[in-house]
Amino acid sequence: MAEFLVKAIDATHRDLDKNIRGCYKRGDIVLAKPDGFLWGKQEGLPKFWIVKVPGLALRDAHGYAVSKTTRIGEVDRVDIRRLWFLDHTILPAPLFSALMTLGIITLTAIEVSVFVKSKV
Amino acid sequence: MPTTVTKTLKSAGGDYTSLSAWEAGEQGDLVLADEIRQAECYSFADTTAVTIDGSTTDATRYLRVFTPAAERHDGKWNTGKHRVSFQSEFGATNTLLLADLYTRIEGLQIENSIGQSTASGIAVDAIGVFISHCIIRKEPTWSLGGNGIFVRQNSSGTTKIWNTIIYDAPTFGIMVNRWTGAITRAHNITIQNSTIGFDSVASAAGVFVAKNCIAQDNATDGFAGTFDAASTDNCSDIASDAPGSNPETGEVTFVDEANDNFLLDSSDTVAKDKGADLSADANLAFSDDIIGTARPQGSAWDIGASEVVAAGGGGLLTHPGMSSMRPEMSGGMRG
Repeated sequence: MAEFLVKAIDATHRDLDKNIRGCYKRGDIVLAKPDGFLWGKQEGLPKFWIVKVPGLALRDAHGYAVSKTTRIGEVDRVDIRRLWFLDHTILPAPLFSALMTLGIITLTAIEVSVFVKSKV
Repeated sequence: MPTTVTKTLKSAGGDYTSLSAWEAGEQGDLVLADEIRQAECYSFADTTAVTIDGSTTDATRYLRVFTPAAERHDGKWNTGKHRVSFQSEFGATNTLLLADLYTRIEGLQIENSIGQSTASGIAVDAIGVFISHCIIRKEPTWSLGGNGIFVRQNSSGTTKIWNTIIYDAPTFGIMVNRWTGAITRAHNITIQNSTIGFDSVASAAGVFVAKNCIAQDNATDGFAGTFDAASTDNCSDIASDAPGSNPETGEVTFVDEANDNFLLDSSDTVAKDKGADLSADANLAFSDDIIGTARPQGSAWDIGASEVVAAGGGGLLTHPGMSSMRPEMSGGMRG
């Protein structure tokens, strides 16, 4: 019921704080859209992967595309750009290969719980 | 001379389908690449909140988000044009958060639909930000929502906001935390129906300059706090409220206030032809209004975001697809 747009390459910044707080890293879940979403021309390799998660409700999928924040007064300060990431290094070989060559894979909801991890 | 890299934002057939994806895809070292990277936004509802952070930018190599002329609003909220309309369920507190230096936002419609009183349509966390020709409002079906624009950057540098309409923001239209060294310049802004229209918060010793601004129907105050002595030609419907020199007091007549059209009506006598000529302003110079109408149309500039078109005349300063503010060409932007 959902699809993830996942960053496929690291962005970096020489400011160490901004590098963590602002830059997307490889594997970061950028955003979630409904099943069958028509992605744009740039929303694929080499910049992004598409991860289809038909067994995951869109509302739940949105919960993976969030930052790690700390409330300071009335402001939510971003600590980490994205809290959840696809750990592509532990994908089974066929999925890993498809991700690297086609940029699109499908995961079950159970596989999401295994391969999508929190950074904290 | 930097190269301008333009990507299109469309619901289908474009480079990106949301500002959030564009920002994620275009992050990088723009200074090293010697590029201006811009998002050209087409007519659709972008329902994703956007944080612009993580890129290396400077005053001449920056990120710009804009609507081309054909995709831009006509001074009144237009559901047939591009708009960023975000309803928060998952922790975002701002529809747009600008944390990269010198980011430019031009011609957007932004709905603040977030269930937190501290939420903002645009939150500014970096120096050198320009915001112009925008309409910002609280999404009408939600009971909560926060500021229009919240300038909270705490470094030495300037934020510039001009030709923008903000309405129905329940808390503040524009709130500025005046940190030492931070300068905010608001020129020709119209704010209607907030609790406080323009709120200058004394966090430290920063500066908030307001010129040609209208504050109307704001529940508690139109202009609250301290404004710089350079402020001038502002208008409030509350007596002794408009800051600076040449204040105007009275109820401004908009084209259709009941239906959220806050362009200045030709019958107005409070703001029309009462503004200062800012075409050569040393810090924020421009010569048009929110929809590109050349200023002045009458005997003088109008106060507020819009300029009443002279009968039988008028004319747009803006050519289709071009920004009305071309600091690289005009040399009028300083500070």
